[in-house]
This record gives sequence, structure tokens and C-alpha cells, in this order.
Amino acid sequence: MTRHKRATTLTHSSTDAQLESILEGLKDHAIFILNKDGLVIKWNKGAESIFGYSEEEILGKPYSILFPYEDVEAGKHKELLKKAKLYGRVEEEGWRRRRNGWFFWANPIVTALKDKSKKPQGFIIITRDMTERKRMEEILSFQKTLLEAQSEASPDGIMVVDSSGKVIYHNQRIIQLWKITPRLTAQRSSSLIFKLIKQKIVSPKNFLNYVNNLYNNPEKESKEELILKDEKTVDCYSSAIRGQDGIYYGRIWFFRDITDRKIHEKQREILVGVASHELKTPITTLKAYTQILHRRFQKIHDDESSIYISRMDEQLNKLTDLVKEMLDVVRLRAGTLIFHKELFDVNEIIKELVNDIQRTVIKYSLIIKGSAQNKVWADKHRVGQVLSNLLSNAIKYSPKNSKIIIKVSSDNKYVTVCIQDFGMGIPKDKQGLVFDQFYRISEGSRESFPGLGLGLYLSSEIIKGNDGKIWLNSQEGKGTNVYFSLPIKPKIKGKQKNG
Amino acid sequence: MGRILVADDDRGILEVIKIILEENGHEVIALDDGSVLVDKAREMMPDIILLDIWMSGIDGRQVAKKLKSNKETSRIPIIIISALSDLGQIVKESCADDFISKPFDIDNFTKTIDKYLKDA
Repeated sequence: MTRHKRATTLTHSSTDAQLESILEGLKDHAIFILNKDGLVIKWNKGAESIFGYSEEEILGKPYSILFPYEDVEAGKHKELLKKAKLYGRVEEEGWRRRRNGWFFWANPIVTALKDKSKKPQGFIIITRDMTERKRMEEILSFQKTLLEAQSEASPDGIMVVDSSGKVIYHNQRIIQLWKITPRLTAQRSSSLIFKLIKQKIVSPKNFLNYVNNLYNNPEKESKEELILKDEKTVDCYSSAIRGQDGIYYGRIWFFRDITDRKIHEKQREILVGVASHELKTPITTLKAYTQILHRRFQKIHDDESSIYISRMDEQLNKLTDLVKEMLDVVRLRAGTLIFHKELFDVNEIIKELVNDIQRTVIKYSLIIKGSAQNKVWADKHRVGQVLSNLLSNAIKYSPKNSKIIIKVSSDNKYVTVCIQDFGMGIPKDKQGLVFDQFYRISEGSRESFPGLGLGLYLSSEIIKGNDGKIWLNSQEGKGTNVYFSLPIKPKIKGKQKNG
Repeated sequence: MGRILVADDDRGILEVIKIILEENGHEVIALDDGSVLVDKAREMMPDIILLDIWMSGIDGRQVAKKLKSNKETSRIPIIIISALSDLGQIVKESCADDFISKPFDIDNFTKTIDKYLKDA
């Protein structure tokens, strides 16, 4: 008791009353004083709320009761005071025990109190409950580790560049991919890295334009295939990084070596090319004999046989289209579907095609309305393929209505063609999907329609590849309008950059 | 009526083309071996050559070019007949005159043949 009293006197002599009341009021800070033997002699309200002991309960008790048992056994409480005695002040972080036995993460600052002759008299300890912060730190650290692990495991070379062009993060893959030297890595300069990349690719000028264009238009997302001098192909993808507040932080760059994929695509293209050629060969013979027979039956007026034979011929045409579609799609994916563009009159090919189709579908009436005042700049053969596909779709999906209208119009930039049918239409939720690969309008309905579902996908890719646009509007049960427009002039290269 | 040299390494196709052309009154020289085409063309001097571009062991493009660069045969129209796509491009590359895609429609087939016979 006398010892306790002496320590209290000491506190009063070394702190003034005002300070004491401030400390008392700090609810989220536990502030308490120990005498030189480690017994609690002063305890504020903050300490009470954090540790759960009232002042009466704790005064005179050893402060080791605030430690987990293992730490007491390990002598951690003694060590802390020893250090404070030695250095005057010590900070640490660790678990502490509340009165109810629960633990919390504390960050105590222990200051040794000394008398005039500098002899240690006791300790003042200030601490907060840092459990929440520690938990957040752990989550953040975990997320950081996770992100880093992800980015290191990623097949992409990744580089994050801040708004000033400084590389603020990169993974190992990007170093391997572009063979970036440690010296260059240390410079953290994105422009030096782009310079290095430029040296390795086949058309360096385009690449620099591409990079500059992205930096001038931070909003732009972009994907580009880079062909390297050593015949590799690298996919380059970049997008802006923005904070929740919309502030532009810089760009993230992904580079992926897709050489193997390209080789596989090429091999697949060759394989499908050979397969398609080999499939067409027997079809050619079959089709020719079918037509010879058809003529013979017509000659002897055997109408029934003649009809059967023309049905065979129709099926052979379908088979041929399937084979062609298959090859086209593989070529599209391999990037080897090349468009041979020229100026030509759309009116002419529409007329030709409508006449051809009209002959085979007597039940339907195909009506051309309007005409194009200008020629278009596109691949004539492929545009014919699109028209033929759209017309056969219009026929296929309007089994109950026989009218199909082909509207042609033009302005000073584009020629627009609309194929209108009055058939079953496309449900609203499916309209966005019809230009996707393998999607079929009949999907999910009981009616079934033949085909691989590649027609609209191919048409859409062909129109896009010819710098045109394709779109549709449709009402279920009323019919569909499919539009496409094609430019009347070649696209001026570099225009995109200025515009 | 004309004399037509047909070169295709698929005998089935060769046979059916022969039937079609002979039904239309043409004389047909059928070849399933492209390697002797140039010699045969010089020997027979046909009105038209129907040439499959992708015969085994032979690049039809080169054969067509050879025929076109040879004084005697350069004026014979060459019609490429093939199951490959992009035939328009192949015609340009091989200096041929026209193409027929496999599989073909007999009407279109005979129309194309007649066009070049008339021109000759």
C-alpha cells in the first residue's frame, strides 16, 4: 500500500492536472501508469473501455494480466519494460488480453518515468486497439500477394505505367518476353521500353503511332497484334486505369506471345482448306450427274422424278454452302480471309442475285425498291455472299409470309441495303446475339432450321472487314429488317488518328 | 463446236465433264496427269483448256503461266476449274482467262465454255 501511494505521488508531481484531464478524456487511447515493479497505479477511461477492467479492479495489479498467457510465460511483459528502462521509450505491436479473455492487437508506446536523479520510477503506457487496422492490413497484404501471384502466374507480360510515363509495376513475364535488361528495368521508363519493343517489330512506325494515339486518347482501349522480326506474334492490349473518383492514373499494358496459337490457327486453316477442297470434289461429281439426270427426266417428261432430282440438287447446294462457311470461319479466325476490294455497282449484283433466287423460290416474291446512286468500295464476291445469306435467311425465317423487300439507298458516304421480311422476327433479348458465332434464331424454340448458325456471323465480319456496318431491327411475329451499309470510297489511312 | 482439253486429277470429275461437253457436241481430250499438259496442248491445239489448279504434284498456276508464255499456246483461253476459294485472285496470278468454281451448275458451266468458243 505504501508503495502504491508513493507511486501516485510521483505521478502527480510529474504530470499536471490539465494534462491529466486531457488524457482522461481520450476514450480510444488506453493510458496507464505502472510503478517500477510493473504494477498498475493509474488507469484512464480509455484503458477501462479497451481492456474492460475498471480502475478499482486493476490498481495495484501486475500489468502482466494484460498479456496472453504464452507471452507472460515467454517473459514478454518483462522484456518490454526492460527495453523502456534501457532506451527511455519503446514502441511495439502485439496481442493483449481483455478482461473477458478476448484478445486485441495493440500498439503500445512505453515510456520510462525517471526522477530528478534519473533513477527509473515507473512507466507510462499508451496504446490503442488496432485489431481492425491489423485485419485490414492483413487483407490488403493478402490481396497484394494474391495480385502479385496472379500477375506472375499470368501468361501475359504486364506493365503498369503512371500518367507521367513511369513504370510503376511490371511482372517477370514482360522482362522475359521483350528481354528487358536489368539496367533498362531499373530506369522505369515506359518510353525506353516502347523503344525497345519498336526495334523488335516488323512495322515499328505503326506501333509508335499506336502508342502515341493511346496516350493522346486515354479513354481508348486497344488491342493490336504485333508481328516481330523473329516471326513471333505478340498480342498487345492496353487500357486506362481510373480510380473510383474517375482520376486517370495511367495505363496498364498486357503483352501475350500468341505465336503458337497463330501457328495452330494456320495449320487448322490449311487442314480445313484441304478438307473443304476434298469434300467439294465428290460433291461436284454428284451435282453434275444429278443435273444430267434432271435434264434427262425433263426430256422424257417424267415430272415426278425430275422434282426428286431437283430436291437432291438443292441439298447438294446446302452441303456446298456448309463446307464453304466452315472454311470461311476458320479463315476469319486465322486472319487469312482477305478482301479484294474494288469499285462496283451494288444494284447489279442485287438484281442478278434476286433473279437467281427468284427462280428457285417461286412461292416468294422478292421486290427491289430504290437504287444506289454510287458504286461501293468492297469485295464484290463477298458482298454477294452476304446478300445471298441475308436473302436466304429472310426466306428461311418467313415460312408463312411470301413477301421480301430489298431496299437500296445511298448518301454521299455510304450505300445502304435493307432486307425486309415479314416472318417470325427475333425476340428482343436475342437481337444482340444474332451476329455471334454459332447463334441460331431457332435456339430455344421448337422449330428447327438448318445451318451451322454461322451465316450472320460471317456476314457481319465480312461487312466490318469492308469498313461497313451491319445492324437490324426486328419485331417478334412481324418480321425483321437487316441493314448493311458500305462505303463509296476507300478508307483514308491515318484518318482515324486525327478524328 | 469446239475441241476442249480438260485436265483434272479426279477421274470422276473428268468423266462427268466429258459427258456434259460431249452431250453439247464438243470434242473432249481428257487428261488426268497435269505434267503432260503443256505438250498435249501444243500437240492438240485445243480451242479451250479447262484446268484444275490443284492437281497432285503439279502447280496449276505455273502450268497456266507456261502455256500463256508459250508462243504456240498463248492464245488458247484457259479456264481454271477448282474447288479452291478466291479463284478470281488465282486467275490473276496464273494469267488465266476465267474460272469455274466446283461444284458448278451445268448451265453456268456451259455458258462460260460457249463464251470462249464464240470469242475464238
